[in-house]
Amino acid sequence: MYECPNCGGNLKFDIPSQLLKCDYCETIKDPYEVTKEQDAEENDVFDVTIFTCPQCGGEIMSTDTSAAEFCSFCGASTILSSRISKENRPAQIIPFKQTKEACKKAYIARMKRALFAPDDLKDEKHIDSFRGIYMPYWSYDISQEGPVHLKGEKSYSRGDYTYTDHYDLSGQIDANYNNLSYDASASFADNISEQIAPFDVRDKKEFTPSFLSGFYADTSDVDSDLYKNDAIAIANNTSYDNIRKVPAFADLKLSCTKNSFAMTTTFHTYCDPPYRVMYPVWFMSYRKNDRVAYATVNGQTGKVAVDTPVDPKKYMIGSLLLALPIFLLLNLFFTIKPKTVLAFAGFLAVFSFFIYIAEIAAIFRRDGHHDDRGYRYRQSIKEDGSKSTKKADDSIPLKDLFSFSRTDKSYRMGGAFSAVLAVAIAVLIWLLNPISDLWYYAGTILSFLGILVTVMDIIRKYNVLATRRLPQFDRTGGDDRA
Amino acid sequence: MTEPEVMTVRRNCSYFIKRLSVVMFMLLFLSSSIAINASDQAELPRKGNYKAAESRDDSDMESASEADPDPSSGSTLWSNPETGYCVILEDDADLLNAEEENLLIAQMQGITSYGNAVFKSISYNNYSTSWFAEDYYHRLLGPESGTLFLIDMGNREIYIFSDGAVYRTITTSYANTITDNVYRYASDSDYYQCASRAFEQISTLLAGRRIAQPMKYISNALLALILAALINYFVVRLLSTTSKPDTREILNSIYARFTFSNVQKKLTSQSKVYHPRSSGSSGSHSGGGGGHSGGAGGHSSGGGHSGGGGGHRF
Repeated sequence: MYECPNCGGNLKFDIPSQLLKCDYCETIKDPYEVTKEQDAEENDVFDVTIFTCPQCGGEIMSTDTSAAEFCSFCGASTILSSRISKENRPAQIIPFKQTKEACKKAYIARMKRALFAPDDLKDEKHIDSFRGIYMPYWSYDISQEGPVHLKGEKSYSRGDYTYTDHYDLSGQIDANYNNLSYDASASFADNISEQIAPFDVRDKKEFTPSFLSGFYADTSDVDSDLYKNDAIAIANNTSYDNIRKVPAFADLKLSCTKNSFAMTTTFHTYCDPPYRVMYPVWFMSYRKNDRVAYATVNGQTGKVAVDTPVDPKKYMIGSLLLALPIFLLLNLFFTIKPKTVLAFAGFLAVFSFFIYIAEIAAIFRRDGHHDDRGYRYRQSIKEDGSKSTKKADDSIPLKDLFSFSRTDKSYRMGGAFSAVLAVAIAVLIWLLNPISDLWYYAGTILSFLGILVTVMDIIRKYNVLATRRLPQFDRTGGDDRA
Repeated sequence: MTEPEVMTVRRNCSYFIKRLSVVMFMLLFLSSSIAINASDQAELPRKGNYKAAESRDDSDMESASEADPDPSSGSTLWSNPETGYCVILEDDADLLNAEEENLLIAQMQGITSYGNAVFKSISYNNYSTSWFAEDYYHRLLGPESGTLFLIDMGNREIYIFSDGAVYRTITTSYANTITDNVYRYASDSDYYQCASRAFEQISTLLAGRRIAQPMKYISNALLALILAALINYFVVRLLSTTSKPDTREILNSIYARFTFSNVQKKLTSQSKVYHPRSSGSSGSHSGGGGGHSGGAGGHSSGGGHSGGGGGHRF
């Protein structure tokens, strides 16, 4: 806590003024003027209170000591245990620019698009639980300086010959790509941080702990080298594209491939040691049963990313309402024979089957954290002590999907069988080729019911996808039920 | 009343009855003359390439029941003096009795205000019903406006084919709708009702009124429900997606600087590969085309006709 020099109250960072402000006497102070002894710049660490969730083990820190009453990661309403600790000092910080009110407005505007979201997500009381958290990021500065030698060629036809001119190309590259940032917290899923990116680093400031006053901060637990190659690849690709646009080379085909390793050598790419920065994020969690959904708002730009589950009842009503204009539109242009409708129903049943499988594969990737390298890094350390920084394999064997579907009732593939049944009914009636329309109508209705069961299961699966497993950080404590 | 007065009344009555008898006789004579003229007129062939109609007998029916769609067996039973369009009924499969034929002819006459009205039934067909109907109609009436209702006992299918101005109203969609509305009569072997209801609905549409379209509405409703359930899923996915920033956005948010100076470009060597232009068939020479489009053959179902139709099995 930073005491007000005037009244002894708590000085907190005031977003509109970008200064510290006393809750009681409204005294204004520059964040760099209000420092504790241990905050001095020469110290590499600063004092914080670490709050730990007894259920998920998630940790969050604050410069305040007042008790945290809920966990932002698993949504548990519980008093978080606290302990005083020292935390490594980040180099830079982008202070909050978006107030909580602005964040709530951005969220409400975003939720207007979520037509079928549960009402709880739009509930004012729930929205009020947005919490300002500084998320740790690794920042990479890439430089490229030195002579560049490339090969180029140009082909053209003349008469019955195709000529190819070969060139030696050279130049002096001088490029910098500073502050390429990647989230450094395993609890902050990569897909969320990617969605609310980018942060404009031109607003960054030298870090001083008083910026955290009134907010929370997540701890960094991901190795600094994890995203180094990603940052280098962005620098190399950008430079390559820029060199191709050099007027003298415009009509040439460069022989240098877009291989990041080769370009690193060619462009003399060098990555400075990464350093920690803190970026502002408004964070809210929505817990239902054993799943949790996150809503995040970029505290600087106001960009929103929301896990949006779907209320099946709203979806059904929405589908019925949508059916009306489709029906009117079809009536304007088409007179479709019952047999053709049955064929369509069969085709759409096949289509819904593939959507279903795609959804299961997406859940498999999400819950297996296949795309979350921060999480996979932590897991690899936990399991065998290795530091895996590789991306997960994109392909998913079908047998893995089927075995995955048996692990939990949320993943069972019952809906797929309804689609298969719908296809079977359509094909059977098509082959029997009865005369009466009633057979085709009955077949189409049965196929429709099959598709509906599949679609509703797709929605249930989508809800699994739009939410997350309760986190298990395994830092301290943890909830075995999760 | 006195005796002379009674006599006067009797004389007047007798005179009135005689006069009435004469008028009635004259009316009868006139009507029979009109009927005879009409019948004479109906037996005249309408087209140059159309053989004179002969009275139908059993042997004709058998021969007409063959697969070859021979229009020479057609018979014009009534012709609209105002429009020139005619009613043709050929019950080669012998599905209607004489009374039903007369009733059907009377009903088909209403259609001749817009085009020809043809009823055809066959008991055997080597071709598809749609092909037979189109070919038969065009051989019989060429590109003239009109509609044909065909009962194909060989394929167990009813079919409506229309062409010309009538086709603009009795479109393929309406042909499908009408045949769907009436196929149950054919399934129950009530061929007169089947044809009668079909011509009735054709007349209704040609008169600018509406017909019931249960097939269209049921089919579209079911399809709309299925499509809505699936489309909504994509709406959900689309509305819940937050786009990730592209490289340009990322570069705009960081400190990025790029310079490339002392640019040099030095030609080191040149290679050439022999690629004769004439080789290969692609080249710039495209050839082909030409004006000769081949003979049309006897069957002229295409060639600018705008006809079409629809049917239903029974």
